[in-house]
Amino acid sequence: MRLLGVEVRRLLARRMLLAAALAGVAAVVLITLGIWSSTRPLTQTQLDAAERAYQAEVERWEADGDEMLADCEEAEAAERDLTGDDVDFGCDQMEPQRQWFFPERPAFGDVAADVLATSSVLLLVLVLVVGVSATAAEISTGALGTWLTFVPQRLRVLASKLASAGVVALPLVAGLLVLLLAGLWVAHAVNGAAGGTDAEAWRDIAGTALRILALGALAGVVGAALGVLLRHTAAALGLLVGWALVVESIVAGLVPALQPWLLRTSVAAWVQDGTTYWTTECTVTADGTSCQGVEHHVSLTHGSLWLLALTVVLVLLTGAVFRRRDVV
Amino acid sequence: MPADVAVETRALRKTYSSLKGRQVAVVGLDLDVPTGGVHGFLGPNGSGKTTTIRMLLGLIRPDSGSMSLFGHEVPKRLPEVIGRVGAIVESPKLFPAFSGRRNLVLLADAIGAPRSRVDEVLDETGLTDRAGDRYSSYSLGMKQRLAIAATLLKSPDLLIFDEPTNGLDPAGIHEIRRTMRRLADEGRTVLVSSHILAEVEQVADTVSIIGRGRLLASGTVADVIGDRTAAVRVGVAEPERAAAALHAAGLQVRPDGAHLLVEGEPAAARITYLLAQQGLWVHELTPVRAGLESVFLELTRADTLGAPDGASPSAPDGASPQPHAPAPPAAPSPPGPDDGTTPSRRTRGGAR
Ligand SMILES: Nc1ncnc2c1ncn2[C@@H]1O[C@H](COP(=O)(O)OP(=O)(O)O)[C@@H](O)[C@H]1O
Ligand SMILES: [Mg+2]
Repeated sequence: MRLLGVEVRRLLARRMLLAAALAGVAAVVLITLGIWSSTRPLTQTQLDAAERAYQAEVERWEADGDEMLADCEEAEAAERDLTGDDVDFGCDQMEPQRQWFFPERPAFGDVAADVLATSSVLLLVLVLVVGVSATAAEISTGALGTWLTFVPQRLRVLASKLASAGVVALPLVAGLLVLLLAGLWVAHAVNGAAGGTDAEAWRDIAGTALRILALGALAGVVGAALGVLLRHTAAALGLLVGWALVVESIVAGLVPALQPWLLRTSVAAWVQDGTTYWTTECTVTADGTSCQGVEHHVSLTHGSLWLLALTVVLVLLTGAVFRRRDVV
Repeated sequence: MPADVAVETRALRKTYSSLKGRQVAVVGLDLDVPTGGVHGFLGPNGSGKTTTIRMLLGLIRPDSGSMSLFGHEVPKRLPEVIGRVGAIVESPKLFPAFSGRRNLVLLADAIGAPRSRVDEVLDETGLTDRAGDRYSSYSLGMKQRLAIAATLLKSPDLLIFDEPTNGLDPAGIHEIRRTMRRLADEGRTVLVSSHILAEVEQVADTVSIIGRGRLLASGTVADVIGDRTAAVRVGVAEPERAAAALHAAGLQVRPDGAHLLVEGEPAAARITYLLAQQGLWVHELTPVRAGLESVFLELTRADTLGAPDGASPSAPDGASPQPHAPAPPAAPSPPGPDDGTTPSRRTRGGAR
């Protein structure tokens, strides 16, 4: 416990943490600006243009609507005959509607949880970098060797270093989440769209934020373990980028069945309280091959248990390596 | 195990394995460092000093052999004894971006030493004024001092300094020497490694000399030097003819610049007599005290030239019968061309 305290104080004093916090604040500001500009009320010119477009479409519908409807229904019937399925071309929804031209502006309460979830990837990357550099820098400067001449118990040292990275991630992530929420609220409020905040929306927001916080702590531990294992910040970050590119995109594209086991799926399931992914399933019939997308659900439990299991394996591996490693 | 032994190693062996292959660094080393005083741990670059020190500190694990610090088996019981041992391995390495004080505070907290100790050791090493500056802004001498301050946080009974004067200016070297002497006078044991003999000769009470991972000689400085014969430096007009004459008379002669060096405790009178017989007139005749330097050179050179020396019974090592590259020359002065005076390999007590 004493060592954990020392390590936490060390990490809090590192410039890397400050740099990460500043980068996080910059990102939050950019996200907030983006949200602000997308929730701005339409200007009079935009309103006029939208009105004109709507009127033009109404005129066209009045002129050709019947014919278009007939065409549509005919095509629908033909398709039904062909496939035997009860296909719906949505012909009865072809009449132009006003709201198509005057986009609805989402209110704060409707989008806040989603924005947090989307931004979480950025926070996790920041925490990973902080964790990786916390241990890798110490190894490459040789300071770890000196440290071990004061505390030679390798596993105690390792445990304190990994845990401290997780602990330090908490204020970093929490601070940035609060800042982001505040920014979002202000952006919406300025644009008169601060509503939508019923109890359920708040529950959603709070739940998402807490889950991101917990995942942040886990990412800190993972980063620190990777730093110990690979000894160089660049190597560990390279591995993460390589993993994201190769496994999470290319391999996953080739073998869609892997999707529930991808980090991004599990992270999404963790942050969003369950997520979905799609596979294409094809059946061969007499008429040929017909494929359709199938939606699958990945639960919060699945995602979180999988990520925890991976973390445990990584930490055990790091312990096994570090316990016996020659520190030169 | 006797309590008056600070460091003891037996049949210590370490092989580094890396992508480039295996490198035997320490081969059956038996090292004994008595408590109290300064003990010089001497050997040319690459002879295994740092490797040995790292093993003693639990930083790397030996392949085989045993070690103890104050009778505690290492690395198994290192946690019990580490509080009595302060060490600086190779160069001082602390957190570069933190101030000197913060570095010390973190270390003090890690071992549960009171914060007041930080101010004490800063004061003791004369760093109080610069304690708030970043460690990376320190000169090498100050880094060295801060690292010593760090080891003093523990009030150690044994201090291990690995080539502490590397890269320091003469004033810094002097200061380190004084510090080591002071620490030893306070009753602590100081183990200092070096490849520069002159440096340690002045401050060490006892020495161990290693070469290629093996112990070559050890004992008090007087012992190790005392076994060695002194030499006489002869200035003479025709050194070649003179050398031949002296050699014929059974003396060991080798050129030393424009002079000759006659080894083997020769009587000066005999030299003048022998040369006078040849009509050679001596214009200079200086007795040369055998310094640790020459002993060291002799030992390590003999070792480099050494015939296959089956020193490590544990290591038939068929894969790499010659694991070491020849050790680099240990000192700037190159030995002269070998004129038949191949130094014989001597070990402790081997005086003729
Ligand atoms: N990390 C390492 N990996 C491989 N070989 C090493 C390593 N450290 C030292 N060596 C080799 O081990 C031998 C002893 O090195 P070292 O203990 O550093 O000698 P010294 O401190 O006496 O100069 C040398 O041949 C050196 O090249
Ligand atoms: Mg060395």
